[in-house]
Order: sequence, then structure tokens, then C-alpha cells
Amino acid sequence: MITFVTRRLLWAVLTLWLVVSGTFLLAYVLPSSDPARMMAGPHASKEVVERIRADLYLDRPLPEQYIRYVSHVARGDLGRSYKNKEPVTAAIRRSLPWTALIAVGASIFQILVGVPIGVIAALHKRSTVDLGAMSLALLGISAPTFLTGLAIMYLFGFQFGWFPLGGLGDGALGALRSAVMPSLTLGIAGAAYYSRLTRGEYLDIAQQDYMRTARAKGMTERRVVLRHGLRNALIPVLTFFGMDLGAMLGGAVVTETIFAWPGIGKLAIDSVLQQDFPVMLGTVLVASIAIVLANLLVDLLYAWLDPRIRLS
Amino acid sequence: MPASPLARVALLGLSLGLLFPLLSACSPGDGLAPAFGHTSPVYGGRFVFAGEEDIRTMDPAIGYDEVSWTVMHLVFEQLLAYSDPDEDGQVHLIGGLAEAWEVSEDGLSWTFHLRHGVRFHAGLSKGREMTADDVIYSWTRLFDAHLASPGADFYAVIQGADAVLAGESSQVSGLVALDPWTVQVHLVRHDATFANAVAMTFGSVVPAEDVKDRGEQWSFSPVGTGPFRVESWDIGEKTAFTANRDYWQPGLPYLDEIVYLPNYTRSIQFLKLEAGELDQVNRLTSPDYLWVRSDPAWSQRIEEIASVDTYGEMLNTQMPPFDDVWFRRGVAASINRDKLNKLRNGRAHPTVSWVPPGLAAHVEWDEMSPAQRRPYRYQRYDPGLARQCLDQSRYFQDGHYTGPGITYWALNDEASAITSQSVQQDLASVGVPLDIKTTTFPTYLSATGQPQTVQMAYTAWVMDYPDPKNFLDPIFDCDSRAEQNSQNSTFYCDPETDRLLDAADVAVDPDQRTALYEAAQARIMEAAPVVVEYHSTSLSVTLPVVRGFKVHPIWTRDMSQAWLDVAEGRPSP
Repeated sequence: MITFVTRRLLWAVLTLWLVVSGTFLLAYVLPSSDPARMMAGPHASKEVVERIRADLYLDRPLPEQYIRYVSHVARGDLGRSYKNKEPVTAAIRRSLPWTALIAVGASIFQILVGVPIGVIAALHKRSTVDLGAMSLALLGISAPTFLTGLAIMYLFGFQFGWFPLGGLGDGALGALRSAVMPSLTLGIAGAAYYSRLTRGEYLDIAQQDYMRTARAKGMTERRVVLRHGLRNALIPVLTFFGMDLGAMLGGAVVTETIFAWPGIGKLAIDSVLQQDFPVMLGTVLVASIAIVLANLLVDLLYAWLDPRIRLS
Repeated sequence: MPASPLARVALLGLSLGLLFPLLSACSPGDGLAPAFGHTSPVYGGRFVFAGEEDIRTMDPAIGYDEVSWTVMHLVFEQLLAYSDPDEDGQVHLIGGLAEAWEVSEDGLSWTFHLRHGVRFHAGLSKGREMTADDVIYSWTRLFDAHLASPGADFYAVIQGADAVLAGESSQVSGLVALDPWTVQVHLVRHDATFANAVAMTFGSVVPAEDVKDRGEQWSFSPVGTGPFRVESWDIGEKTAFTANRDYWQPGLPYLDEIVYLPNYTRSIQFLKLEAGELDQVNRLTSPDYLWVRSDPAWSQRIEEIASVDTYGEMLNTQMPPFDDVWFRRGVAASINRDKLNKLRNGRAHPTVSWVPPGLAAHVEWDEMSPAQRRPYRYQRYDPGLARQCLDQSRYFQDGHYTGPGITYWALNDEASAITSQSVQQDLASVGVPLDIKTTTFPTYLSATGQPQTVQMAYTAWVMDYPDPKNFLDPIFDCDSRAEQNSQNSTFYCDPETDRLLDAADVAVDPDQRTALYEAAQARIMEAAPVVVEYHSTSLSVTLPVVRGFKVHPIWTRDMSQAWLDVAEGRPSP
């Protein structure tokens, strides 16, 4: 177990280094645009742009910039935003909890709604209930996030006035209220996908010998479904759940943009659009860490769910 | 058999789907909350507005964008200020932190007499009184090479500024404090726009001890002398400003608090306005604009003024086919400006003048003599003239275009998308094919600043200050060209234009100055390095309770005298 985790963590470090280096090269080598020009503004003279470039170390040779960046990252210093001079670590610390809040909300919604619908559909195979549930699931998967987000905002925020129209409300309760619509938006597609996945898995498992044996032993149907059926059907769901959670923690760009939600996704997209490279690299690093850790967590949970799986 | 939980959920979903159109027909926006009816300003309340971007910085030496300028106008003040727009929408320079000022006959020496009793917001300066030393510190700071202030260029005419910029001195020799309330400024040459520079946010007066002690943290909660102080800046969430009750202007401000919410798209901003979550918006999508204009209640709440800007296309004079003046003229005469105005819902006023209305050297086609019109005639939609010009160019043979493929660089916003497609259609009608390349603003900015890179692009120039110099010098002067980050993106260079611009820059007589800029503009328009299309309008939609809010040509939104006509309003601060 310890060897497994250690090996995975070493691979994670290598993965992160590759991701950071690749992003650094994409940002600084490709001749897309000049961050100093963006920071100076469209009316600034070339002299001002040159002064800003010098101040941001952009006038140094690329290898020197790269070594400087990597050595700072190794010490936990991700630099400062070109845009507002805020330390990148502070920007991430500020944004990550908000993304985590809607990611957790969306995950709860996905599991609590998606899995039961999948099981119910499987138990009522080829009935109207099954057809209705899977049609809704197809709709949930197909509808783009920007559309579901705007529809949810219009209905629950504008027409019913139950939730504020984007942004963060005041205080803890206000923040929780504000998190409902983005969480729902983020969770709808996942819930739809989980319901289809659970249904498919459950239908496979329902044919297994151990399900028949459990019933033959006189177990109640509820116990058969929950203990033998659902537990086994959840293994592939868990794989996607881990990856989903990691991806969501890395930033839900579209959802956060629609709801003006101050999370990592909004931070990332703004940094890309404004050529704020230190922030962009920082958000990519966070997203990578989230995905790597989520996958590690999933591997560990496998062993708990299915004792036949050994971590070696 | 009772319905399963799933069936109930499905039923609820179906019901909501059916109810949706009915609900849409009775939106909250149908009933605008009325004003209370106070006849004079009352105190109190919170004014909330939003934007598509967050504030970039609140350091007045650095901020150089619309949002930053708008919020910094609440917190900081300069020695000179701009008046409210007059009946013609024009603004004029008036006293700000300086109650009076004098200029020597040769225009080289400026003396500012500061107001007494102007205090900084609390902070390390502890609300102390502003003095001449603060002015000198604030302006000297602009030349700190490490700060790399975009404002340094506007003040570079001050004696000794270059030495500080070069790191050879820490003091600007041309800035002198005659006494605590008098600042004298010596210039190296006459500059008719120096007063405009003084009124820019770059000239804001800040307390030295606060800036020095807090370093880079200062810009997150800066201290100024304005009607509002920064209460908090939660980046990406909101920025709150509270009333400065020690403000030097008696009775102001009326509002207790102003809140800025970043990152809302235009459509969501308008939804929030309808829901009463915002008090004002200044950008609308086209459908929302048309709806607001047609709605009896909302149309009363919209205010529009002419913006001091010019929109059109830049044509790279060093790249084929735009290296041929006849081809440029033909392209300029091919663009249907009236169609663009219709596509922009009547908010794009067609023009032949790069210098916008209200500024010296602006020209109106209808007011010009035939001789005066001659250089400007290519900047009007005239398909016949366009054909003649194109036929004279070396890129047309027997009425067919023979030049290289043309790529038009557009931005990923609504105005640019509309313009680029309209231009593509117009040019196709005279036989010039065009490919549109849509890109982000940073990429556009870098690409257009490099020679031999962009043939043709959507362009706009919004004023830094209301003077023709700001619209001509930075973009048409030969010296503005560069291998990288060229401000002159057309790479137009004409020694005679330069001579006229240089002469206008040092001209003391205003009439002579205007004549020189008119002559320079006429030469530029005849050479057509740009296609001049239209001047835009600024708009504002407010809730009925909002009073005293102004759409300002410089600050966009001016809330310094705004108040809320609500029952809870107080008669005194």
C-alpha cells in the first residue's frame, strides 16, 4: 500500500513538472501575443511597453525565465499576477474554496440524483419509467452547460427569485444560496451520465450468479439491491466520480463564467484571455494536482469497494 | 398504483416546461419600482453597478482602462477636473484640487494654487491635509522606471522628467513647491494638452507615506481625496466604496455606499437590473437595447450621449494591396456607413472625420465647401468613386482584383463581428474578396503592433483626453512606428503630416493650432490609411430611484453626485 502510494506520488511529481513545462512553453514560446503590451493598454507607447517588459523579466532569455519560474515554483512561489500584482498563491487560495463549494454541491447532486434514477430505471427495465428516466438523462447529457445554466438562472433566479442572479451573496448563508444554481448546473450533466452508467452496470450485475444466489438464500430484495447490486455497480461510477471531481476542482469554466462565480475556472479563463501567464500557469498546476489526487483517491477506494482488487 | 418518485419528478419537470412561457410573459421587469418623490437630494443608500471585467488596478499611476478609471474617479482627484457635459455634450476643464491656476505667456510655466482643507482618507496619512509636496511626490512617481506607469508619456514634457526616467535623478527639476499650497511646473516646451494630462487619473494626488510604507499592497486599498474611500476589494467578487464624510465639497457625497460587481455578462447585468439587484447598467445586448427602447417604462430610463471615439478599419500601408493609395481609397469609398448604423441600432453615427465631434479639427461633410470636401470624399460611401479608385490601383486589371488574398482581423465581440461581416459584404460588391480572422484582444493588439503582419483590421480609438492631438499624433506620426508594439498600426508615414502635427503641438494660438490639425487630418484622410466609419454613443439605463447619476464622456459613469430617491433617504449626512 505504502509503496503503491509513494510510486503514484512520484509519478504525480513528474506529471506536474511536464504539465507546467508544457504550459510554460505554450505561453511564452508561441508568438501569440505580448503580455507587456496587454498590461500597458492599447494606447501605451513602445517605451512604456518596454519598461513593463523589463519589470516582468520578459526581456530575459527564455531559458533564464524558465529556470527562474521552475525554481520559484519548487519553493512554493507561483509569482505575481501581471494584471493586478496579486500573488498567484493568494489568488488560488481565494478562488479554490468557491470552486470546491460548487464542486461538492454538484457531486452530491450527481450521486443523490443520478445513481437512484439509474437503479430505478434498471429495476423497471423497458417500462415507461425506464424510458422517461433515460430520455431525461439523454437531455441532461446533450444540453450544453451554457444553456442549462442560463435556463436555471432565468427560472430560479429571475422568475421565482429564489436565488441571487450570479455572484456571491453576503455572509455564509448568502454564499450557500448563491452556490445552489451553479452546483445544479454543474451537476445536471453528471447526474444524467451517472444514471445511464448505473443503469447499464446494474443490468449487467443483475445477471450475475451471486445476485441469484443472494435471492436463493432468502435475502430481501432491498438487501440484494443495495448490498450486492448497487455496491458492485458503483465501481465504474466511482471511477468517473473521481475524475469528475478532479476536473471540477480544476475549474468549471463555463458554469463559473455564467454565474460570475469567483472560482478557479473563472480565474483561469480570465488569465488566458488577458495573457496573465503566472496566474494561467498556477491554475493549470492546481487543475493537474486535483486530477492526479482524485485519481489516486479513486484507486484507494477501489480496494475498499472490491476486496478482490489489490494495490500492488 | 401511486406514481413512482421518478414519475413525479418527470411530471414536475413537464409542468415547469409548460409554465415557462406563461412565466416569461409576466417577468419582474414589468413592474419598475417607482421613486419615492423627494424633490431634493437625500442621503443614504447603496448604489450597485456591475461590469464584464474586474478592476485591473486601483493604483492611479497604473490604471489605464475603463473600469479602473471609473472606480478611481470615486477615490482620487486631480488638480484639474472635467465639468459635467454641457447642452452639446461637451466637457470643459475646471478647477479640481487646484482652485486656480495660471500659465505663463510662453506656456512653459504653470502655477497651481491648491485648495485648503482637502484631506486624505484615513490610512497611514491619518486624514492629514493635502499639500504641494504630495502633488510633487505623486507626479514624480509616474517616472519611476520600476512602476512603468503608462501615464509617464503624458507628463514627459515636464523639465527633468527624462532624468528620473533614466534613473539619473530622483527629483523632477521642473516640479517646485513654492509654498505648501502652490505648485509650479516648468515645461521643456509649450504643450496645449498639458492641462488635459493634469486632469487624467495619472495625475491623482496620493499621500507619500501611505504609498511608500505599503508597497505593492497599496493598490488593493489605496488612499485618495475623493468623495468615496475604498472599503474592500474582494478580487473577482465585489469592491465596496463608502462615503468620505470629510470630503471638501460641501454636502457631497449623498450615497452611503457604492458596490461594483465584476464578471457579469451584458445579458445577466440587465436581468439583475430588472430584478432590482443592480441600479444601473451601461452595456446592453442588441435584443435588450431594442426591447428597452420599445418598452414604455424602460425607455424613460435610458440616457445616451455621444462618445468621443472613432471606429473604422486600419489599412497597413506597407502591405499589399494596401500599399497602393488608390486601392485604399477604393476600399474606404466602398463601405456603406448607413448600413452599419442600421446594424448597430442607430447608435453608430456615420462620419468622414477621424477627429470626433466636439473636438477642434472635427469636420462635418455637410458644412464643408467643395474644395474642403475633396480630401474627405473617399471616406463616404460612394460605389461609383470606389470603382474608379480601384480601377486606378495596380491590383485591379480589367475590373478584376488581381492582388493577394486579404485577411481582415476582427475581435470576438458583437460590434466587431457586425462590422467585419458588413465590410466583407461591401467589398465583395466591388469585387474585393475578404477573409475574416476573429481573434482575442491580446493577440490582436500584438499582431497589429508589428509591421508586415496585419493587412486590414477593425479599429477604434477612444479618447484619453478631448483633444485632436490624442487622435492624430499617436497613430499617424512616423515616430510612432516601431518593429514591435507600434502605436501606428497602419505604418503610415508622411513627412508633411509630421511637420503639421509637430507645428500644431507647439502652436500657442488656438486658431492656428486648429488649422494645423485640420490640415494634417485632411492629408491623412486623403491618403486613407484608415477607413473612417462612425462615432458611437454611450448609454446608461437606471432604475427609477436613481437620481443625479451622469453618463460622462471621460469617466463613463459618474456617481459622485448620485442619490437614491427612496423612502429611507435621510435629509442630512
